[in-house]
Amino acid sequence: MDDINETSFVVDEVSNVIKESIEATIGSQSYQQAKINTWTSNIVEAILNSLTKLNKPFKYIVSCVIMQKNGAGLHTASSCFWDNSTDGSCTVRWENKTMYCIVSVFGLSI
Amino acid sequence: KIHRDSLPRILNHRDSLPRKNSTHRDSLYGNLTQRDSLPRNSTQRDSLPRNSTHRLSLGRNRRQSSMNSIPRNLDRRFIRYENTFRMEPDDDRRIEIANVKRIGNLVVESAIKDYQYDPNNAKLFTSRLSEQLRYHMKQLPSNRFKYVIHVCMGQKQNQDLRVTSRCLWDLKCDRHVTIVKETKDCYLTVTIFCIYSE
Repeated sequence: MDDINETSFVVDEVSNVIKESIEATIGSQSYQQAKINTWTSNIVEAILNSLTKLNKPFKYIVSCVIMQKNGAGLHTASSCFWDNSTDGSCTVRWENKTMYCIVSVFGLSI
Repeated sequence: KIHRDSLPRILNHRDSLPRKNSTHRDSLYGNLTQRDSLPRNSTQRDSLPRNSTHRLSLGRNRRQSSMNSIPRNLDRRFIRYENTFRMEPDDDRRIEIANVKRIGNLVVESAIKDYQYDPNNAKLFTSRLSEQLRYHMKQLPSNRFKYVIHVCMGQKQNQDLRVTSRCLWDLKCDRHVTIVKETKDCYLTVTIFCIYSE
């Protein structure tokens, strides 16, 4: 149904967008403290740009956490107060040998 | 005689309207966008192919019993509210960022006081904290806001961590608040996004 796709959050589409952006930015790199700032900004901005190209009536919040692999534990939680039928979120966990990356995208319909 | 002649003209006008679902309701909603091709009541569900709308019709089945008081032609998913003609929140609905920050600080500090990082318990702790914050945000007087509360907690082991977020929203009305707290062995980052929705 085209109508549902246009006015509600489609998780698969967004999840693909996120994975592509992560792979493009830090796909084959090792953790480097000097570059981490640019990496996070690039990932988040690339995702936001691709999301706007989808041309949907949504406000987006993109959040990215990158952590060095050190044996430490990390927990993220999010709680949202919104309209369940039209809004949604998508979280992607990605890792390589030296770091973890968690990206969450929240889409709130206008 | 003139009166009788006018009747057939009205009938012809209705026949020429595009008939998607062949019901009378189409003429009422004729000027809406393509949303009105969705089934609006139970009798129309059978005419659509089963595989594409099966999930939708299941949901309507479940909801049907509680919707007896709502007129049949109202589509619950796409309820159309009347235009409020507001471009931004008015004064009694504007959210106070200082308030949000103060409440956020209070809740987080009371939660993290004397907290030892425990890998088994941490998951529950973060979800409970985010739900507590959401509960407090709902108590605020402004009622046109949607909230997204993002809690990130980790163990301190000399590792590096960066949390970034970018948002595409309305600069005038939407806000966010970030709170960062540390204890001896763990750190906590809380971000609260407040989005105005009409």
